[in-house]
Amino acid sequence: MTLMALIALPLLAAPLVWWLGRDNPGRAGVLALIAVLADLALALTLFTAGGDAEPWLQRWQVDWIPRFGIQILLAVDGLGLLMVLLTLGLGAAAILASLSEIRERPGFYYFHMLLAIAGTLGVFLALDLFLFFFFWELMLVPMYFLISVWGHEDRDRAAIKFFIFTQASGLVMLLAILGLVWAHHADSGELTFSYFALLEAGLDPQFAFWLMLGFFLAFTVKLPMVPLHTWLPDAHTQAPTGGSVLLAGVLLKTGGYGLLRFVVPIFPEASAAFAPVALWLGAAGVLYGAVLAFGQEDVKRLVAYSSVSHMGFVLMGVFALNIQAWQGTVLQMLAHGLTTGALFVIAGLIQHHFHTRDMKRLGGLWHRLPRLGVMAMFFAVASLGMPGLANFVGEFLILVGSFRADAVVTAVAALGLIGAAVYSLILIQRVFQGPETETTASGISLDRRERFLLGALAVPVVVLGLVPQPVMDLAAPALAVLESLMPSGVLP
Amino acid sequence: MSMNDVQALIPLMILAGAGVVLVMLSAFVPRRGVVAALAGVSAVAFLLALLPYFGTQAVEVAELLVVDPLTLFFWTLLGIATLVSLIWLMVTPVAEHDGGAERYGLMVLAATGAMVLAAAQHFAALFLGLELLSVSLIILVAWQCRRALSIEAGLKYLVLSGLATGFLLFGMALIYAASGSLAFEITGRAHPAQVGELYWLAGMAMLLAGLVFKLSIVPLHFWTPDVYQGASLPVTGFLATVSKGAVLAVLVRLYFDMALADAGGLWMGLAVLAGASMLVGNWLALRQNQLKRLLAYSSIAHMGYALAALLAGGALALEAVVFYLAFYLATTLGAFGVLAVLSRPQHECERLDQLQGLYHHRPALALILTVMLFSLAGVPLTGGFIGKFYVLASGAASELWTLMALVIAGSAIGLYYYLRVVLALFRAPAETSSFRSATVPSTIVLVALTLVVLWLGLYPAPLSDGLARIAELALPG
Repeated sequence: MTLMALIALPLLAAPLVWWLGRDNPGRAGVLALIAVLADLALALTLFTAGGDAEPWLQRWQVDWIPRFGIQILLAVDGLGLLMVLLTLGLGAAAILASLSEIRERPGFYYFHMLLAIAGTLGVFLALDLFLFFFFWELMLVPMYFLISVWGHEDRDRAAIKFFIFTQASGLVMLLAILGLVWAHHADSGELTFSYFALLEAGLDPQFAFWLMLGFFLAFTVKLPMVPLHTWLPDAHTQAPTGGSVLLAGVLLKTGGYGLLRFVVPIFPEASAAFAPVALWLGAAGVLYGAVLAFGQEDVKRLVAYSSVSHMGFVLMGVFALNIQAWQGTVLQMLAHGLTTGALFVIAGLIQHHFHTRDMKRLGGLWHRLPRLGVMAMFFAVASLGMPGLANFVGEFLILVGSFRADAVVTAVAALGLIGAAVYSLILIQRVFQGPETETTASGISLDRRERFLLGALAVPVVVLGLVPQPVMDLAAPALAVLESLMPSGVLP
Repeated sequence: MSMNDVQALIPLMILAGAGVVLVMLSAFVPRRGVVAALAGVSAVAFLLALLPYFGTQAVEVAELLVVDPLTLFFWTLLGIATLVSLIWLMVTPVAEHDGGAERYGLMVLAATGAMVLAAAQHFAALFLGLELLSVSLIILVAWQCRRALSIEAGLKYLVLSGLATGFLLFGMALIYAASGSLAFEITGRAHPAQVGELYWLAGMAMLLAGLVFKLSIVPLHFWTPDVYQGASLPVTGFLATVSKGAVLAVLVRLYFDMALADAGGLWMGLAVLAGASMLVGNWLALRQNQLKRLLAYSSIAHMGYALAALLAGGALALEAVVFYLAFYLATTLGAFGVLAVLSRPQHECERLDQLQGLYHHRPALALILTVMLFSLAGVPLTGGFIGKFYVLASGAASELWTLMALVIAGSAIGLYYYLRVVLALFRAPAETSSFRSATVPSTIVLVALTLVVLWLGLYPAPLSDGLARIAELALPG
């Protein structure tokens, strides 16, 4: 029941916030924030949840469309719980970051914000494949509105592109889901969309490979993987700050989560057969993202391309197919969510204060805004993988794991770390150092809310970097099940 | 004709009688409101007359018609659509000289034809129903006789409909020559006939061409955008929903009674047409700024999806296509309703820029239209999502991967133009823009349609269970 409440709370709060805050930005934002924080508190109670069958912490189900054996089946394990916490934490951060930026139709804005959060929570909790797909598509709609109504100059194109990429690949996944369900139906006579039943579907290997590709396509569009990433720089750049934080911090993670939750366990043989290709695609993403990030003039675009690079590691981690790499993947997803979310907040602040994201027109901010400079430095360094901070742990574990799978790819991908150092430092140099420009000659200092927001994002980055073990312990049971599903002989 | 037969025909008689009386009454009663109200009452009476039949055995009326659960479902659906269309006809403002009361009678007559089609199991009934529907519609399309576009549309529809009817009749003749019967089921069994396989095939192909024309499936779609644009909004809405729904209904019965799934070449031909409709319809809508033309192209694509669902064959396909029709009627009527509400006399709301900034002035209308557009695009929470799910589910069950890939490609293209309209709704309004506000009755109908679309998307279980039972009864074994 907690699980349903977790999704229902933001869903029900959304229209309320819309109505009460329809022309009062402050009130709308605060109410939305309260809703998300209450939801976060609710999520924390899951730690004490009475255990379901290992590794599941809690499960809840009720019939929905019995004609097709579709249920509202929600369940959470360590992996899901981590993603839920990330979603709610960053959701709160995104709302905080929006408070001063959103002046127009605030109620409607936070309505979509809450819907996007609810949809994402649904994705992380749903274990009926139809329900999962339902939420998967549902989180698009509010995101589309966030970009298209409150976005920057080229928002229409970005919003439509984002929607078409994700929806089209989503439909391919729906077709794959249906293929899987009917194959299972032919095999067992039972028509069901339940994850637990479909795990045991006896599939023809060649058919399984095609189905796996259907899922893979949808998840890697979201991740995104090169060459399916082209929606991402546009969407991230054009979205309002809160939207960018949610997109980069949370929505991209649904791709990595989907790969771990569905692709690998349902199609273990097909995943193993496809792994070499996926590893190279991941490495290509790491390098390509890094090179393009280096070439950007726009602060937000730079951060967006750095996401492409970081998510390349996630793809590698998943398809290294061993537990170290998977642990690294989980950590990398959390770390990337926090640091990139923070970098988007910083980019948003720069845009808000100086009305530009163009690095040619920025410079010398360190003197005007030393606090912002320090925070930007901190997150840039975290993002480039400095030991002691969260991203390092993730990337290190992924590289360790994938080295066992394929040493050459790992060596190539490791070059991406150099790229990360280059583009992160370039960002700091061009924006915060050097001479002041006309644009930056007038500066305003950060207010208390903005300092608190960035500080709050920095704390978990340090904690995860220094003591990652509790998080790894939380995710371990779910990943151990994954490992047990892999066919013998695949694991090095 | 036994008493039993007469009883089964009572709903049809109500509608047919009302149609004739209303047309005549218009000559004597100049008050438009009276005629409109009577038309509404006749549609409601038709729906009420259906109530006693639910749960009864199928009744065949002199080989021509069959009243079974499937027919009842179609009748209910089309009856409600007719009622809503009549309401839109009532609330859409028109210029004085275009406001003839005869339109209500004609619409009821056209609906009678649609009901006959939905119950037809014999080519004679098919022909009767189709002609009654088409002839009434032609007059309705050409009604605004001082608008060149309207005349053009009427003429186009008249000539092309005539041609399609010619094909249809000749097809029937050939089928009769091949099988010696005009009943769907018997002619179906005659295939492949001993003597006339070629006759049968040629006849079926011509017959299907006639029906495909009415559904505006590519390549017989050219009339659609022009007629949609030329006719007045409520008439276009009626054409898009009741007329297409009835033709789809008869096609469904034809498909299963005549076992077209086993007719290899014909099946393949229909599959190609369905695929072409999805792609071409969506493609042509991309740069369209004329809302009625946009909806016309969208309907071409949607009929392609529905046809694809039908082609999957089996009970699931029947459920899929009927569900698709249900959501499509509700959604399309909702979309046309919003446009009708926003129209002014002589100035219909028909260009995209006329909708710009609607959200700022009439948020409720903008949100309703958004729901309808999302439903057409197949986004979750709306009936369109479940409709698309049904299509893909029946396609995947029959392993029609190519056709399903085309459904996905079509949907992806289609998103673009639906979202373009949504974007316009939420953009800042132009300085000069002003919007009419909705009257109470149209608000009630619009809200009801929106709730139906959301209900179909969120909790389709009652309908899907009912459809599963209907399909089981219609296709035993």
